[in-house]
Amino acid sequence: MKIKITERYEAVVVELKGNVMGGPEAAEFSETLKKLLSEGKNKIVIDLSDVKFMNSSGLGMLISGLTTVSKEGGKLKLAGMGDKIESLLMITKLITIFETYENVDAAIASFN
Amino acid sequence: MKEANEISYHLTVKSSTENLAIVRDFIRKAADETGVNTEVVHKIILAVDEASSNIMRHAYKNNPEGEISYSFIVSGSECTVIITDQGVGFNPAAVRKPDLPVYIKEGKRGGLGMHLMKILMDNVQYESTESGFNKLVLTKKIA
Repeated sequence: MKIKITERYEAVVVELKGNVMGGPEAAEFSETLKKLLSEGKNKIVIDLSDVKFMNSSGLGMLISGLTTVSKEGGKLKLAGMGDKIESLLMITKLITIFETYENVDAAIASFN
Repeated sequence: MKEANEISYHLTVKSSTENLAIVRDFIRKAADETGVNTEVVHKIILAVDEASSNIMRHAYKNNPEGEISYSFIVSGSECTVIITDQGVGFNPAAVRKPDLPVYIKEGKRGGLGMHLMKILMDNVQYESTESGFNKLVLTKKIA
């Protein structure tokens, strides 16, 4: 998994690429979010459009991220998820806890 | 009575997480060869990935030198994946269904795998044999 951070207007886009499967990368993701929050950047969009595969550990990583950001009064939104990830969120009934958008632009616009 | 045609594919890999991609490819190709539809293939791949991750982490305690064997079998309208390892066995009855609201509140990360496997597949059976093998049988209707 690769992580790329882009600031767009008042929001931060955290782009995940490749296979999202938890492990040591989950710690990196968590640290990234904590650093952003410590800098007062709490409007966060997770761009999933280049994610090839996600398993339950990757899903757990997103849940953990959502909890971390929410506890600090921020917002974490998901954008660009493909059918496979959407299906994963549906069958685990976790789709309701995430705010999801078709693409990054729509997610950013929703902050206004 | 004529028996249903059966076709099977087999793979053995070391218990390194680097091999998860090989396992996913193996299932994808075997499923494609046998004409299983794409949506079902994805569910099987995800379930097998969860099972494999659990074996690597819990049965082999992250030791990459263990062996995991896979048999992908299509017989009639059913697809079965048999996964065997020689790591530490476990009691599936002791694995509780995760409490999702608690998960979200506490931001927990692990423990969803077994739950997901059961949702994705029609049947999940596990046994630890006396000869030291653990056997996980995942079954899914494909028609």
